[in-house]
Amino acid sequence: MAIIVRLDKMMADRKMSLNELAERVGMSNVNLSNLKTGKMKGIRFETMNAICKVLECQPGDLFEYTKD
Amino acid sequence: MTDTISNKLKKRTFADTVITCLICAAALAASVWQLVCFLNGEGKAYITNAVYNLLIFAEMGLLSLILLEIRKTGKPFSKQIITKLRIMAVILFIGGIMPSYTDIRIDDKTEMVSFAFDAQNIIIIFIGIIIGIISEVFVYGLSLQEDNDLIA
Repeated sequence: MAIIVRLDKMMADRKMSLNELAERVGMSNVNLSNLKTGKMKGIRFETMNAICKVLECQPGDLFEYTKD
Repeated sequence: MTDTISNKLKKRTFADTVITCLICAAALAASVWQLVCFLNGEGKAYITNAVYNLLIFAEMGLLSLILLEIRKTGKPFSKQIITKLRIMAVILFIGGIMPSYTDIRIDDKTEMVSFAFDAQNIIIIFIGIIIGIISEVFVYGLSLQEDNDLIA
């Protein structure tokens, strides 16, 4: 898919582990890992809101569009 | 599917699972008892009752298995559940086609045997058809559940 999830970069910038983010967002580690690796089909606004709140970033920082 | 929805579903199905398991056991016991009565030569009507009770046992057994699977996985839609629902529909359909048997003794020498196909049979057949249709709804539900599981 042309949408790339930049969650790993944002987490590395904030020195936050996957487990810590999952706990603070209220998601399971498996779901967050699947989101990070781009295995998910979509993301709810609710989840995006929680991630942006914890990582103190904009939704645009989490995703990147590249041409196929 | 979120964990809270799954947990709520597991809690909601607890009573249903217990009730269906009890009915299933009762149907099996009744069937065995009717079969024993038939084997003791107490009348041919016992064998039809035994078959009807076996059908109820099969239906309730499948329903129990469905509920147990829902309690185990926390998800109401799966290929196994769809298969079990289809088997339930077929069993009900066969049970509905089966006429009820009545053995009437007129006097010492004359005996009348009656096979009746009445409204009760038609209702059972329709219930079988409805369960078959519901199984198709579950196919759509499974596809929606798979889609939903891939949304974070």
